[in-house]
Amino acid sequence: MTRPNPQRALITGASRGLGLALATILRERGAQVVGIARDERRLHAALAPIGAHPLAADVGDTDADALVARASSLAGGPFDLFVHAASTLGPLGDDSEDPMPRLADVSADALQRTFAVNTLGPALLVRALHRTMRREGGTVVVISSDAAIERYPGWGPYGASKTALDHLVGVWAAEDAALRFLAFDPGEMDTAMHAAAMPTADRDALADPGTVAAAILARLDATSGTRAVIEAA
Amino acid sequence: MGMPIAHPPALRPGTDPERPLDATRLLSVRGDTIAHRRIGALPAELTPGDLLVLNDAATLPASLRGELRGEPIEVRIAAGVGPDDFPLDMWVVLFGAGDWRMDTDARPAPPPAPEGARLRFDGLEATVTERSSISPRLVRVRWSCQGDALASALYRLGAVVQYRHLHSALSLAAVQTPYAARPWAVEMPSTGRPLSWRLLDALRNHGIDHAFLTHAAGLSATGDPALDRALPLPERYEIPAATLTTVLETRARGGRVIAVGTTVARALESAALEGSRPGAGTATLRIGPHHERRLVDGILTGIHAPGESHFELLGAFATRQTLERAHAAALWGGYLAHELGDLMLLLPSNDGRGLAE
Repeated sequence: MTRPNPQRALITGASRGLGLALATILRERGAQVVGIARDERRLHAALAPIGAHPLAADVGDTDADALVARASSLAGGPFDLFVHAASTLGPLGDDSEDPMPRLADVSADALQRTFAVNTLGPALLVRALHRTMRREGGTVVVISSDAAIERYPGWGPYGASKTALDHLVGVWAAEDAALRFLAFDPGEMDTAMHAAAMPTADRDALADPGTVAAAILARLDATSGTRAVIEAA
Repeated sequence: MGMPIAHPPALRPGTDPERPLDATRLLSVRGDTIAHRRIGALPAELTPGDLLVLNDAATLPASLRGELRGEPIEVRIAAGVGPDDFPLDMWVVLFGAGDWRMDTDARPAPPPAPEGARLRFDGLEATVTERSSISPRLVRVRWSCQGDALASALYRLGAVVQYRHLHSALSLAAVQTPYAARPWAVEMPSTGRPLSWRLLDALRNHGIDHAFLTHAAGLSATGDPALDRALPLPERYEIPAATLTTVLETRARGGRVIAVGTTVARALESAALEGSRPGAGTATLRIGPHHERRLVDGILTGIHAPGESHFELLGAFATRQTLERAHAAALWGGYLAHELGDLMLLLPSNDGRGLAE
């Protein structure tokens, strides 16, 4: 029997959306999958049917070294794929058509929380994962956004945190050629996060997370550079 | 007033977890030749064809604060029982009230913990199932949970074992080696701490490969003289088949096997006594001057002083005279001792193992 590739995957944001879709496909391929999300009950309910290991934690407020030790014990060994699919828009406003916060109104707590989940959390998780991933090689994937590049009003905290994350990915790649580091812009997907940000969007025009997940995995070994855009919609 | 009592000068401990890894000094001892280097010189100090064997045990938050019979205690995990990462049964050492800033010898004794006694923590319990004949403070316990439920509780409640000579508490990240993997160590396998991946890559580029095993590095001190004399306690290890093959091939080619840390020496030499088979085992071997080495040719280790159990172990690699000269060189050279200190490379006098035999 050949080893699945990847053999063991750690995925944040695994209770729904793109994270769950990635976990589902990787389980079908025989990989050991550990999924992280904040809501313990939803995470267990989502991962039980696919046989992935749940690890309830808030990536924006956790000890990354402890989390990685627990995760690799659950998976039975070191990870060769890490996907940071967890993401937060930060606290939203109460405009029912456009709840995204303007920078003039955003609080320090909101900014900190957005960067904690979208940037600092994955930075520390990758640092902890690097210890074992360096042995056999591996791939680090982060889910970015076109808001990391375009300057959309209301998307300041989120977009800036993704720009910073993209930059970390680029520097990781420059510092360590033994591993692969990739940031994917998944395009607009039909997810709970999209509905929260743009409640009035036409869902038929949005990509299915399963389609995007398959496209990302298909491009893991076929992407040059450190950033790629998925056009699945 | 009498004459002041002359204490022998003592090595200073390393105290800075933020010291750049590259600043680690390396005392190179090859037979009678002693040289002062930095860790970055390791590739030049070794010979292409040599092999470094590393202990990939990650360090647990092995110190927990709890309660026994209503009195505050500290529990330090000594060893897990069985091959699981977070097993139901473990050996632990009990400490009385107080914390790591106090000398362990000066801390009050914990309340007696007979079989059946309950150790209580916030959201976790353990029941004493056996008392060691070595010390009433060394007990086997059964946790109220195992696996990730126990891991979750330990990482939430526990702290890494601290050292009194430090100014502030060490974080979990600060005690991990750059290649830490399996959470088995209760104190850090500290020799490997300065071996960055950049250095391991540089070594590989010089033809000096590395391989991993896991050895559950145990407690370094308990404050109980009878227990301290018995250290190290039996420690579990696991040697992957690929690592053992690489070790044997290295020696067959005339290369030297260098243990990174005393834990690696203990695991490999214990395995050698069991027929050099890969897999899991328990190290009970005490290595000293009379030990005849079977798999390990040289050792990279911390800076140790005469009288320490680690210093006795080094007797298997060099004569007492060489070790005392090395200790003097470290002392007068201002080398730093203990977990956050400098390193010593101890090699047989000839380059190339084939020549030495």
